[in-house]
Amino acid sequence: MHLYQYVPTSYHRIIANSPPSKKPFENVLLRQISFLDNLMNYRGRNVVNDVFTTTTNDLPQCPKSLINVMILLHNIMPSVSPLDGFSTGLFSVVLLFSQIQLILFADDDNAVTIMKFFQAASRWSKNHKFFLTSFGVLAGGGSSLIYALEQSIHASNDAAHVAKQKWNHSGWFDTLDHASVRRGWEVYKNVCAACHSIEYLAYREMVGVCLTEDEAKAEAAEQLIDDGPDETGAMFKRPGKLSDLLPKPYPNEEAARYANGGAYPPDLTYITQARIDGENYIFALLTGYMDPPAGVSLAENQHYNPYFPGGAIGMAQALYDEIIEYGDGTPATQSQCAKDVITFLKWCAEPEHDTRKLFAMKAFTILGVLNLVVWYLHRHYWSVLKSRKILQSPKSLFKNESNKSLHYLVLYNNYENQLREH
Amino acid sequence: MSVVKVFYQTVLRRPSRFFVVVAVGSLFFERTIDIGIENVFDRMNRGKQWKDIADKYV
Ligand code: HEC
Repeated sequence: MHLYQYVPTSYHRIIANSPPSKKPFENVLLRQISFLDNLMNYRGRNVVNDVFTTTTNDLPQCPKSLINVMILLHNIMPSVSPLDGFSTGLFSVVLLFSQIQLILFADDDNAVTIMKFFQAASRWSKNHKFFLTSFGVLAGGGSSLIYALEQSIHASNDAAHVAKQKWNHSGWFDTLDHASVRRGWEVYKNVCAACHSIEYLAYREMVGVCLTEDEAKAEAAEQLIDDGPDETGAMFKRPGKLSDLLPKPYPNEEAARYANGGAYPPDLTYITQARIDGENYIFALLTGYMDPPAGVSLAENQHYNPYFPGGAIGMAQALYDEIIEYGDGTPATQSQCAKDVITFLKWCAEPEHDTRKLFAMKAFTILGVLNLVVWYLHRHYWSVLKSRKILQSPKSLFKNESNKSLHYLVLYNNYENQLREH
Repeated sequence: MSVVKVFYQTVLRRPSRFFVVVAVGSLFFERTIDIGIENVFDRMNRGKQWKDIADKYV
């Protein structure tokens, strides 16, 4: 490999006209290039390419124009592309990053900017340092805050610790068990719906998740939904449609409290998200009823459950063995019902659950590949800095030179140093 | 070495070509990754997803 091919055409001339030029800078360059050329061919390393490809005048234009084209394409791609936008999304993160880099740290000379990102921290610009520092502080502070909040909630809880169950959707790439979601819907419909609403769920959302379209239509049609006003201005009731939300057992909170001895049965749509230990807690709650221990007295309408903070809960035990009969013939024990209804509630709270895990798998795979690329790039860029014999030089030398000649001087200076050393 | 060099000369050297390779390559890359991973995912979760049990109910 010959170094000349990496040198902009204007300098080919210099190299070709070997007799010393009158301009001292060109001489320097000439000597430097032939020195490096020898060095490179002698040792068979291609460390030196980077210096030229990233610092000559005409090449730095490439990354920027390339990035512009990419952004343009990125903007039109979602509308024309047959893909699901995942790669364009990833793409945009990378682009955003390079954009930030260019906007915040751009100098006259883009080449220097790009090099800067791979420099030792002591040579970063103020902006660069500020950006990275505030990013680090925000990220670190945010996570500590969340961690601290999480801890304090645990510390102030007087309820029994819940056991961790082996949910078959708890792995990184495990989907919900949809047969269980379907049974859970049967449990909710026949048991919990008497007191609890799931007011943010529409019948149509269950199609293709735990019901077929015909089944969902039939389920909806069984309910009478308020509609209107009709032409006389009166409200009326009609059979439900797929687009209707699930009806609520009580018209408002007061009615719900009145019917339940003052306790309010919370909406269950997002309940697995709304309780610490979500599914495990609800499982413990539903299956953990017991007689109050000696010395504990309960008010009327209260029941004892060690997993409920305080112990006295307004909800009576809802699940017993054989409380319903499953359509698919699964024996309806108490724990089976609890497991199924919780799987259903988990789906209500996170309808994107399965897709999310599929995408996690894709993301890990693609990021894994990108990781290799980044690792290689890292080695590639740092190879320049790691051969410091060639690159290091005192800053005082740059004082009177323009940015663009900076790297040539660096090279020259080291060349002289090396000559002196030997 | 020569493979690398040919690759460099034909693909990486000119941003225009490089970009075309990236754009076209990403189409194939994404389809491969998508289909491949969805297969693995479905195999890992065999019997659990709705599409595995739907035929019981129609
Ligand atoms: C007889 C009415 C009734 C039925 C049936 C019922 N609940 Fe409740 N539920 C309540 C009431 C009332 C509360 C409020 C308890 C309190 O705050 O003291 C409640 C509270 C809850 C809570 C919240 C507990 C907490 O930590 O605040 C969950 C979760 C819950 N119920 C789940 C269910 C599930 C699942 C079913 C069906 C298997 C069900 N409930 C059936 C009346 C009922």
